[in-house]
Amino acid sequence: MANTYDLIQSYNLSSDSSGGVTFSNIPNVYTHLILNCSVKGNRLNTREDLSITINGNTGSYSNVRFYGASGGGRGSDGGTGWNYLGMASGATAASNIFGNSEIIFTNYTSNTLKNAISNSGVSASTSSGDVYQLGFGFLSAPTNLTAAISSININSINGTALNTGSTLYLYGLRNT
Amino acid sequence: MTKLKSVEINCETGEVIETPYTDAELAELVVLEAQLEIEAQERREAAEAAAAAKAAAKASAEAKLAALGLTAEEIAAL
Repeated sequence: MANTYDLIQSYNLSSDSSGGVTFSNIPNVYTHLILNCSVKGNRLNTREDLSITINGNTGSYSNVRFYGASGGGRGSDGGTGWNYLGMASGATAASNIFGNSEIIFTNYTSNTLKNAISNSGVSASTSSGDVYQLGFGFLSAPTNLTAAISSININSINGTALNTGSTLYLYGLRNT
Repeated sequence: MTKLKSVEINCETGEVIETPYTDAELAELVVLEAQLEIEAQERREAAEAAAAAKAAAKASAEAKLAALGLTAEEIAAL
């Protein structure tokens, strides 16, 4: 169990950003990183997926996701070439609804394969009723990404922007 | 409202770099987003039309089978 749980930086989007949000120059003094997000994208859906890009590396990520929704839809997907992880609300969710994700980057300074795990969910009131969606996921970074994680970009993947009001918090965990 | 190309938070210094679109870029973006929305609408309409055509074909086939004397259970089993 970590003895230190430090807020490294946080950000509250005051304008829509098509390039998402990037945390750069992440210090390498922690053991793990945790990114907590309350975000909204502009995809025409109640839910939006989030993309993760580490150190600007746009190589081949792999993921697996398990998800369920209150309407009965549930299942899993994933594969090579996907860098989806986490969940946001979409444009058809009410304006004050944000999707919540916690994404953990374990051992981010080691020279081994980088990966991240997430749990996320969003609830949205729609004209046809309330929708609740929940997901868990795992992301494996490109195999050539062996340097410590120094930057993380998070963005809307199906839409064209992360929306105003989205908030992101990056924490560092260490054992001392 | 200002629309940003990107936001970068430097974790060492705390500096936030917000890169806005220029007016010209923003105008291009509005056109692009409108085009994307039109394309998305066209895809939705095409999918709905395909689904309607499929349902109509199924109903037609079921009507023909019923006319041949098959029961609903027999048609469903096909």
